[in-house]
Amino acid sequence: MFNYLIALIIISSSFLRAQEDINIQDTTQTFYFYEPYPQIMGTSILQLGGSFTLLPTSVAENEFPTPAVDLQYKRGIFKNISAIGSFSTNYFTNLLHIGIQWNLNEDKFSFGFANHFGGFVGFISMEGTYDSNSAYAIFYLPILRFGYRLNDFSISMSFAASYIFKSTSRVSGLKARGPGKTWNDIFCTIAVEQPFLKSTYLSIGLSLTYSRSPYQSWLLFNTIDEYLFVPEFFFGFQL
Amino acid sequence: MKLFVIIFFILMSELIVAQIKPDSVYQVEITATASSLISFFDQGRYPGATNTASLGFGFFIRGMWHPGRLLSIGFMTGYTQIATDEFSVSNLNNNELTSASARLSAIPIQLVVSMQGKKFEFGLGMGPYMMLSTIDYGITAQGQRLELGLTFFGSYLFSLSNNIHLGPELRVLYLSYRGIISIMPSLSIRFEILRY
Repeated sequence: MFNYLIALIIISSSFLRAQEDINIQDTTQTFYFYEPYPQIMGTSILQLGGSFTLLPTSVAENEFPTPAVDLQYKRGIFKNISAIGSFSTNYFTNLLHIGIQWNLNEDKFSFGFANHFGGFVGFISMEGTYDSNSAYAIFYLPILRFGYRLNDFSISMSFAASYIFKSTSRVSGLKARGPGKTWNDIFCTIAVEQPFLKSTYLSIGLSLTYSRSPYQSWLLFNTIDEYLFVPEFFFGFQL
Repeated sequence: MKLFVIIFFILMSELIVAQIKPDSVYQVEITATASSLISFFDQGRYPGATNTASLGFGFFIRGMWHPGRLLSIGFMTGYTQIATDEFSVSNLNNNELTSASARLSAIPIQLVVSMQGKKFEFGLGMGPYMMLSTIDYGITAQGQRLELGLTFFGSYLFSLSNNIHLGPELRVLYLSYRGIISIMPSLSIRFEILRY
């Protein structure tokens, strides 16, 4: 009887493990940052990564990829509603925006609409040129997101535009008003998100921006009043 | 005894399940690609040039670390000759025409990310190209400059053996600073040199 009990426990553990494997591979339980698949309430994603933005040569004169560290957070707060926060910094240039996103899915296809508000702050002191430089902007950012989930990964595309309420820059005490009450950027972001290594999830993608005044180049005193193309490569690991 | 046989088979089946888990196999892969390529220039390659397309050739090699999932990351280099031109230059002193030649080549030094299915692979190389230009006009002048570029590629590979795969690959090179797009319909061979 004891032997049969041992056999039963071993066999049961085998079934339990099989059940675990099924849960791990259940893709509806996997949530990504860029894909607008509805999150389960109470679940959250914290993502740390980086980005490289290629500044327009008409402003920077040379091809210069600007690096930044990105921290992103998404939490399911109600059914089909997520709260989102995003912070990007390279110390001199900082961008923070937070918002609420409505998510919907039809089988593998998902759709989302987000309203974000945020601010940009930049500061730097350069000895020998200008003592102190700073700039800030306050903006509204509506985002339309589309996602498609395959067995092992998801593809998503989003379209967004930023409306600047107010922006100002200062150079050694001289204050200049920047773009205000105007749409400043339109951009399209393409992201692929998938498992990487054993249980880590990775987002990689490109963001293609047309901007009248790219915030990443605030220090270069852009005087070109036309839409400039600003491509960006990004990646992020779910923590 | 029966009991031990049953337990033995159950444990063996567990080992087999562990063996076929897809994320348990990590690979290092080397892929080589070579072919001719056609390049389109946004601006004239030399003063007076009217044609915007040129023929060249390229050879690329990438080493990829492929840790069990779809995604792999690695490094790519190689050599590509984008354009060679023969043209005439008018001498300012006596208006005589002198023949000249120019050549533009590029060496990629790029980080690569790619996604692989069973047969398909799609990827993107990002980073600089070392642009090498040579102008021969009685004397030879050479220049070199790092410029950023993107290399998109997609391939479909057939298995020749467990470790060797061969197939067509289409790649598109984009060099934004000079406004060059190169299209390269090529052949690739992949060696899986390490599996652990």
